[in-house]
Amino acid sequence: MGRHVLLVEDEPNITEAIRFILARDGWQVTTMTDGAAAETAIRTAQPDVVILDVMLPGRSGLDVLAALRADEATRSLPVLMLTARGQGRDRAEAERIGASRFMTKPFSNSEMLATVRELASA
Amino acid sequence: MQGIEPMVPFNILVLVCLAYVLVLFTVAFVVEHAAVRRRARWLHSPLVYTLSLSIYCTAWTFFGAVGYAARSGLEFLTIYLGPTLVFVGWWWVLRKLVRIGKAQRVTSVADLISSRYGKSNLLGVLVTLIAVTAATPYIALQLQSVTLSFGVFASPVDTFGAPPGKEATALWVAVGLALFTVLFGTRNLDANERHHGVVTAIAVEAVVKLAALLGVGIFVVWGLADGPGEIFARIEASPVAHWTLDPGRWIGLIFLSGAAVLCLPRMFQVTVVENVEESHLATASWAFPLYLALMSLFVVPIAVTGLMLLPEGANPDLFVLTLPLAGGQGALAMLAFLGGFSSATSMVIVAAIALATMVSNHIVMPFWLRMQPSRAVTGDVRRIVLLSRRVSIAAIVALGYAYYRLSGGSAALAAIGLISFVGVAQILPAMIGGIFWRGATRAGAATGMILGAAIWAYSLYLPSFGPEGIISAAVMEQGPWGIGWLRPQALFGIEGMDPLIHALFWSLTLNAMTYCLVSILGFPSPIERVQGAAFVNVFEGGLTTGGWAGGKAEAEDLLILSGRILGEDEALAFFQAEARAQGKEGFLPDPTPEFLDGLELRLAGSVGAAAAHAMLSQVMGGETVSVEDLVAVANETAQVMEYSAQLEEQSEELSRVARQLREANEKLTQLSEQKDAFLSQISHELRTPMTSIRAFSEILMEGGVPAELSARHAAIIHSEAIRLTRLLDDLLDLSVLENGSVRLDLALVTVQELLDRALLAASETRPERRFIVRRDLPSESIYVTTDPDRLTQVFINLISNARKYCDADQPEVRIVVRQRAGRMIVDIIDNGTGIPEESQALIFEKFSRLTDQNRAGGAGLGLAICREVMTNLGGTITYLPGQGGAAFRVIFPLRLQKAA
Amino acid sequence: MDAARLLPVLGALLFLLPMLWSPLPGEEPGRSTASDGLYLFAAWAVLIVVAAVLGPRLVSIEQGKRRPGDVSETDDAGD
Repeated sequence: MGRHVLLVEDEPNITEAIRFILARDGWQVTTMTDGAAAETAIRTAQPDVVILDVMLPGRSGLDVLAALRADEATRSLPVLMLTARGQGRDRAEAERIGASRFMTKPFSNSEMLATVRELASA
Repeated sequence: MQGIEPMVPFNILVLVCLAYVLVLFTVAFVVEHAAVRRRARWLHSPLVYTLSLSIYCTAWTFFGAVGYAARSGLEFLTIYLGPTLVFVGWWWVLRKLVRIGKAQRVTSVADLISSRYGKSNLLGVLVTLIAVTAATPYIALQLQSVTLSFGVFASPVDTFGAPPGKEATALWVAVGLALFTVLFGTRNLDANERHHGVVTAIAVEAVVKLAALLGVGIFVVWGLADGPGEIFARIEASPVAHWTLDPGRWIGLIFLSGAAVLCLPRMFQVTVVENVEESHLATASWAFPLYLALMSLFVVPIAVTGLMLLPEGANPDLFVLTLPLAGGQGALAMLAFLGGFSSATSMVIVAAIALATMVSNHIVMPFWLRMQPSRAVTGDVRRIVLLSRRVSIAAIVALGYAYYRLSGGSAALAAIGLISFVGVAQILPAMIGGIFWRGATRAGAATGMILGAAIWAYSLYLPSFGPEGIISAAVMEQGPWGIGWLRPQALFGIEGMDPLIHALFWSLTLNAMTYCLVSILGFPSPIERVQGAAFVNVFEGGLTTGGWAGGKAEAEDLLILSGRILGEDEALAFFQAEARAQGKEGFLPDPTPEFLDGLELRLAGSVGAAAAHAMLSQVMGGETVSVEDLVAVANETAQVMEYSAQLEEQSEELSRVARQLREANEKLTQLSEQKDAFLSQISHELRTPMTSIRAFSEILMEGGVPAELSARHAAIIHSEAIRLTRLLDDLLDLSVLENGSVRLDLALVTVQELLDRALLAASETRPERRFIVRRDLPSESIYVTTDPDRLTQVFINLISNARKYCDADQPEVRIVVRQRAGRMIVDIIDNGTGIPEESQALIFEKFSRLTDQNRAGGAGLGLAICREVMTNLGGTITYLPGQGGAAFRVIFPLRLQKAA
Repeated sequence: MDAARLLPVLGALLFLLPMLWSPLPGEEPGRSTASDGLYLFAAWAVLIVVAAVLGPRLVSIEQGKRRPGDVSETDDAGD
């Protein structure tokens, strides 16, 4: 079972929180803030789980997800989508495009950890 | 009982006939006048309707049934059992025919078929030809029977075979009947072709013939015999005590007579065309079978008694007359004579009227109209139509007379009647298919009928002229050109069948098969589909409206609707063009959205857009629209259109108002979208700090974290909490400003003072950056009356933004202050790259932060708040393009008045 | 209404039934005119009576279905 998580999130404080939670559990966490660069980074880093925020500078998280799903190599990569826009539309859209899981901010730390574990072992 | 002497001299007989006709004439005349004055409600009683149906019982029944029974036992009953089944089952077919007849204003059976298959005149002509051909021997039959019955009275029975002046009698009868029919059948030209006078006269005749036959029957049973018991004994002892039931003939004849009662032009005339109220059918459904049963009740007793009492070789077809004569009952014989006379005259009159309508409407009038040099047809038509009907009546009766002379009156009555029946039965497939099957086509109906009629003519009709007639004995024996399987009475080599059943079987089977096959292979034209829908679905919707079936609108429903509004030709042309555009030339277009839009536009040209849309959506929704509804809409639209014509003079103003409305509408739409976006943004801006706060507080709660890390986490929680608070403050501020409920604290203050305070406060933003501020202090020393705190807030925001976002290496801010016409103009310009042109319109919207690179500056509400503040201060804030950097212009009044 | 639809079927059965009866035993070919006649008239009477009972009911069903004022077309006679 891999222990590598790639986190794409533009809020530095939230990035720090997630990194702390996962690192304490023994995960290697790579972070980045820019949506435009995320797709290439994911291909290169080949993480076990990707945590992707919906609202990113440069490129929307949903666009990044769509690009991942369109590519054979990353089609089944576990992706956890995060959003702070508490609207059903985002969730429906994310599920349509092919998000593995979807969480609304704010989240509980234990739930976040459990979800990442589950995605990595799936 | 041997010497039967004529009890009445011939001239008195003629007088009686004339008197009887005169009575009928009077009845018809009086009724006709009463009908005009709408007085006689009893005219419309179901009784009259039922009695008028009795023209089914012609002289063939009156005289012929007894002869038939004397020859073939109970088989004569089939002729009445078929109609009984049809009437008892009125709910199936008759009710539908009557409803269609009313809805489509059908004038004859030919009109029904022609109308059903797309108003095809070809079919009208075809049905008319079949009907006239089939009716001719039938009319001849009536002339023959009247002539025969005259003969019984006018000469001794033993010289009965050749009474002098027989042809002359027939001629006079024919002329008299034609005259009476012309007088009453063509008096008026009613749209619905009803003849109240004639119908009532027919009803009187129905009573006379029933009374006569019952009278003779009662005389036979209780006068010549000793009641029913003895009659039964006589039947058992008579030559017809046993009869053979040929299953083929039994089924075939019941079916044939049932078909005939639907298809015979005269029956269609009285059942459908002359029907005034549909509920009369319910009465007729039992009363007419009862009438038939009563007419048949004494047939066998009369036949048996006649065979027993009258001399060998006496014509059984005349027993009804000769038995009372032989029994010395002159008055009863006279009644029987009148009964026969009634049967014959009523049949000829109604048949001639019905056939003349068909001949005139489908053959003469189209021909006449085509002969007209110009298309201009005027009021003269009415006279022409009446004339053509009169001539047609005379011609039809004349044809019957000609047939009578040609055939020499040889064949037995029943045989002639059945030949006629098979002829008109050829209409049955097209009729029944037409009212139950939408897919039936004109081509199918035409080919089926032509084939059926041809077989009928070849195997039954033409042979009826006898061996010396059109088809020679050799052809009958060996087939044409010796081709055995084409022998008229053994088609395809099937021998030994009864000739009548043979002809019925082949003609109707091939007719129906061809009809179905051609219909299935072909495709109905648009009008056929419209008419097919109107016929088959006649019960859906109102009495006169072919309703729209529930659910999805069919193209034909739309065509019906459009036809009512645009006129049928124009609607059809439009539909055909649309179908062509859809690549379906010759068919109806699919109701695609594009097509519906086009149609709506087209209808809107006639009735207005709203009405057109309402109608279409009603049709699409499956609701029925009655003609009244449409007329109401049309009236309303007409009024609106008149009104708007007056308004057209002020069209400029109207269009301006319309433009304003449009703009307002766009604004509203935008606002609604903005509200959604705003809520989504609020959610995001609130949840983002909450996420950090929650995550780090959970970490702190779990414990086990080094102290300095805990302190860092606590600091993050703290800063995020402040961020939340600031956001909420901004939101509340914005809400107050937007509501216009903000309280302004006006004071007298110089612009310089305001800018000083703003620069001081803004220096807290990114204090590490060194900024050069260029000002012109003298121009700033102007006193203004305003809310200093609020205005300062705007300046702080603008200067902070410059400090935050100006990306020049040597950042500087230039502040230019001017005074123009009682207003102050303050420009704040930095030397960065400025704001891209496409974003300039957005920056004053809420949450319109351009880049997310610098988080520190709140939620992107700053400029939105500035705009609201300036609005509250009676001023504006705008972006100044082309100033070499980000440039904002703030304008506000020198003296702000406190709002009342 | 179903009864009205079935009635002609019943009638057809009644009228076609004699076809199935075996011919009279004995020397004479064919069938007895008197008894067959009685049977046919009896069947006929039954049909007439049933139709007479059904008719008015059907009319009231029909008129119940239509809108009031639509019931009769009697007044459009004449020219």
